[in-house]
Amino acid sequence: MQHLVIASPHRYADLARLWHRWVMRDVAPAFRRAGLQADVTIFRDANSEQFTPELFPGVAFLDNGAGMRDHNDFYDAALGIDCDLLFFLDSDTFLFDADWACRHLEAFADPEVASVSLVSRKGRPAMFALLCRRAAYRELGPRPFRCRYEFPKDWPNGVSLENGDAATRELIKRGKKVLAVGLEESAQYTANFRSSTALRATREIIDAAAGDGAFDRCFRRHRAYTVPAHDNILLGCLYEALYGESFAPDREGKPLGGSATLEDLQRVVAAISDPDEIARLRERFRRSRQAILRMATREGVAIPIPAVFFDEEAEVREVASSSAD
Amino acid sequence: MENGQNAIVLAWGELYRTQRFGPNTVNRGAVLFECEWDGGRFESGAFVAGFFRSGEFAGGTFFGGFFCHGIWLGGTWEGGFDRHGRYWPRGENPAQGAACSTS
Repeated sequence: MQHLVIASPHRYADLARLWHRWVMRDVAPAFRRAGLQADVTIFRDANSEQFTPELFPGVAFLDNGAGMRDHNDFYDAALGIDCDLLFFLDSDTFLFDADWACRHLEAFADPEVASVSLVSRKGRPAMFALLCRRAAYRELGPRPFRCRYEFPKDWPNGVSLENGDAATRELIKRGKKVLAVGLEESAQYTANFRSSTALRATREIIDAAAGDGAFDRCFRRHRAYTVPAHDNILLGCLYEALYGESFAPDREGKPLGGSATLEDLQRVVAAISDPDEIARLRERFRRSRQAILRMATREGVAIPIPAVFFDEEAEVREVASSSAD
Repeated sequence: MENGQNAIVLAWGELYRTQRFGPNTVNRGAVLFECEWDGGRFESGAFVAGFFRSGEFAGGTFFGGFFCHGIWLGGTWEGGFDRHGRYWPRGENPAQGAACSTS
């Protein structure tokens, strides 16, 4: 029997509870039905005291330390876990149909296939949900997954290789295959609230270094945080409906104080005047709402979705009703 | 920003984006986002996703940028790249590695 380990780096226990709920209920059982031994490993990247065995039954924990300093290190360290296949599933990535993921195991009948990326980045393989043959990556030498930056002298116009990009390139050079599921198919079966953890970590780090309020100033001026802030608000809606607790609280327990509150986001969005940017944000927000409403439907809970733009209520209701169809 | 006789002092509560700071700059608490640092002294604050070309990093947090030819005296390394584009994870930094001299 082939042995698969579902592995994921986590920094915040609340998001990890959502992830764990979906993985233990849907994903691990699906792989077992497909004939694999399936185990689950969580890398506690920070706040390890929040990740108690009571909250996360049935998983093995890894903690940061030598050789596994942060989430970027984790992917390489996970290659040390004794198994045949690894399924890296990021903390903010959820599968609507785990049997769909299992069907992609068929690709490994081809011995040249090293991995299948179920959620790509702009159509290229990425780590968000990567099924991979452990041996193929171990053959690449130490730290194959590590990110790097090529042509640093050209910063900020060099080439940023995210985790796994260099490995993909090397595997292809060696005649292996790294497959990527198409964007349309992936969107049908997965939800990916990208950078929602990165936003929280960035707030934590910047406020620790430069004082409370420092991140708020960044948030108002750096638009890259807008979508992940919205995603955390949505994840909070689902989390509160399921657990009755605040999501992403700050040190004082203020809901979303560890990310950005709805009022913070509304202020940022209200200051945007570029119609193209507004249209782009509306579309991104709409996709995230659809995803969270599908998750809520799967959970059998009703969740309120707050409006961000002043004229958004009608759109929300429409998404909600179409999601329930 | 205080502009003294010999030094520009970036202060607590300030935020800068995509700016370049020369050898007469001292950071005492500001957040520098995607900035270039070339020759000054970074005493506290946060250096985020920027390019530390040269100077002294004596305190504060380095997060997600490049550390090229600076001198690392202290502070918190939250992850970033050396001048060869290699990633150094949280808690390690190029100043600890033989492959990339930072002085």
